[in-house]
Amino acid sequence: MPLLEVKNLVTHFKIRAGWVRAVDDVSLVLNEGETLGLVGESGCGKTTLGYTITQLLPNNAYVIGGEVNFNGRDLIAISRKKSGRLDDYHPEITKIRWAEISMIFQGAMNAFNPVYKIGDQIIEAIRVHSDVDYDTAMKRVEELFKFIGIPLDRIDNYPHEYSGGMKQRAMIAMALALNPKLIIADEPTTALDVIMQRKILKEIMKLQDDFKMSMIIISHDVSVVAEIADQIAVMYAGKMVEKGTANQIFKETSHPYTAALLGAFPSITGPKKRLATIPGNPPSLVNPPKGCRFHPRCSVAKPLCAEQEPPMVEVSPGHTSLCHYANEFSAKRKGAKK
Amino acid sequence: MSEPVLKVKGLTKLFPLNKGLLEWNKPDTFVHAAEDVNFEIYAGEVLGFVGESGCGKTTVGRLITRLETPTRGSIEFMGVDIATLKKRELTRFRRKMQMIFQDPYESLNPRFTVAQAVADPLVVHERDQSDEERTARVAKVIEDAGLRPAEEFMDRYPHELSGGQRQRVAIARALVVDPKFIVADEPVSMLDVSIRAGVMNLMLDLRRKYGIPYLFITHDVAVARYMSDRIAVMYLGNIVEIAETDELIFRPAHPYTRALLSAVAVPDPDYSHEEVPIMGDIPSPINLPKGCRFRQRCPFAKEQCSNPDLKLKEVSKGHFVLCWFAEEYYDNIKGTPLPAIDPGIALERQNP
Repeated sequence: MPLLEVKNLVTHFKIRAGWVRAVDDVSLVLNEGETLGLVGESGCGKTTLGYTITQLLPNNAYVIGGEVNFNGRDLIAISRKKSGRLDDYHPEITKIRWAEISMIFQGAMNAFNPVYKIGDQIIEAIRVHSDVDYDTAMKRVEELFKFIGIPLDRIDNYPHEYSGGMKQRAMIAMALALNPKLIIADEPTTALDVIMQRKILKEIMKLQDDFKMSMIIISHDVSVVAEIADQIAVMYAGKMVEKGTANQIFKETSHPYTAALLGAFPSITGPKKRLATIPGNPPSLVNPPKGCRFHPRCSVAKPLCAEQEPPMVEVSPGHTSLCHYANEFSAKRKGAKK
Repeated sequence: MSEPVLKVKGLTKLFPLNKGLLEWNKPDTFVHAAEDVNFEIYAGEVLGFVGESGCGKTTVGRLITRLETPTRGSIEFMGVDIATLKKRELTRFRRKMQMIFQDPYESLNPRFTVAQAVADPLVVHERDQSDEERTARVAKVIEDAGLRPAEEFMDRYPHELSGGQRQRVAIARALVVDPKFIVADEPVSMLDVSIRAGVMNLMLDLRRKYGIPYLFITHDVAVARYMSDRIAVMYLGNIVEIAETDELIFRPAHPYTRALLSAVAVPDPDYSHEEVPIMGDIPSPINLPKGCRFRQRCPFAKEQCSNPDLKLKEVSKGHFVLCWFAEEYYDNIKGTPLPAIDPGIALERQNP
């Protein structure tokens, strides 16, 4: 049984202009010890998907349908109210949140409360979600700081006394505090300099090896995801357009959006080539285009793409693509490479 | 061999730190933002400045556009040292030197339409231009910046534009006075991937069309490689290495450059990284170590590294390194093959 199975999840936001279809019919499976990289541009719904799994959505978010099966239980069914909103403080969810599913938040710079000591904030997280006394929690914090390499005398510091990289590490320590089964890391290295980014990525990889933890890494940066993920899912305008192993996504790309995204990334290896650009802008999620949501920007779009929503095509075992012409497209790319 | 457009020598900026009332007898302390920076930019060339946050790359950009006044050093631009010019005299050079900023959401006045924002430099620098001339010029640069047709964009306000379009307006605004030199400070770091490539290509096309040299400041080495003909790596206020782009990327001779490059994430799941150990965090730029500023973090540091006489050494033509052991190390790697440059973006400058 997979650790996490998201089935046909639909999360929409209610705003004055209507409904923002941030996550629209998204499914994914994550096995124990696996790392899934969730990539896409800003506004594609990747963060909303992460927050729906941990149920930390803002109060204009409605889960219209779908399941989030974690360890055999549907978390949405537990806390979903009639209106579609989730009950943030549902006791069952509070027990699971942080203890079994924790998060590394985007922008660790601002994720800590500036007026409390870092150590106390981690201790608070431990004591809210498990039944231990202060001293035990403190011991746990010391263990965690040793693991992530922050000197123990910094436990009593305030966030402003930490550098960006240290805050990010403290955030990781906090996510690890209760030995969760699943960690969702939202842009864990985005605000950091390259050298610090490499250090944090290495630490995350060490975590996976040491604790066999499952992770979902949300990032806009294809290269970061290429470094650490076993599985990669690409999102565009609320849809999951392609899913597969890292090698399938990079070497056997079968969705035009993924191909365009990879082509738009400069690299420090190989010969320098002119970057491919994607025309236009990402669509509004209030009024997404009919048919395939990528068709107005797609270089190989055909009339069918504007009319009919594409099916999920299985290109090869474990590799799916949300494109009418997925097989054709990947065959053509293979031909071009040879 | 043509003359460089810009020649920077010994450029230094120290920001004094405030002393408390009771510290009046303590020595003055400074943030060493840039120290003894030397480089040249030739016509039509893109020089990339890379480094981590706090390394002084933005300060260098602000110094040569004279948004800051240097503490020491000279900036020779169009044959004149502009480092010490006063405000009035500077105006003449300001129009020849434009800047593109990082955040297109902050760098455009929300109450100006696109046409007003782009025309503003002309209002300052071309007072006797007629309205028709001005409008025609504005429309032309807006189209040059890839916003076509210009009429459709001229009356819009920034909030009606996407991030990529805003950055194109900022580019148009820099182009409108026909500058001889542009400083671009992280111009694409706020943009999404699919938009970013378009803006980078636009900047390269404009450089090709008008031969305007850029100083391109970025923290992203891959972006710097794509944009630049030459790259300078900065660390704690010093240029530690400067060379032609692929020479620097594939034959890095400074330990810091090597560490930096080995840390860059590569969009290829099969790629394995060279391990260059580097110790600790960047020290504060207030109390700097004597001699090589990288030595406390350098895995190869020796006693000699604290010698304060450190100068850039030329290890091969046009490849300068700020390290005592640069030649020794460079001997091991000078044979590394460089990839072919795609003719689509090949360098087109007329210099040595």
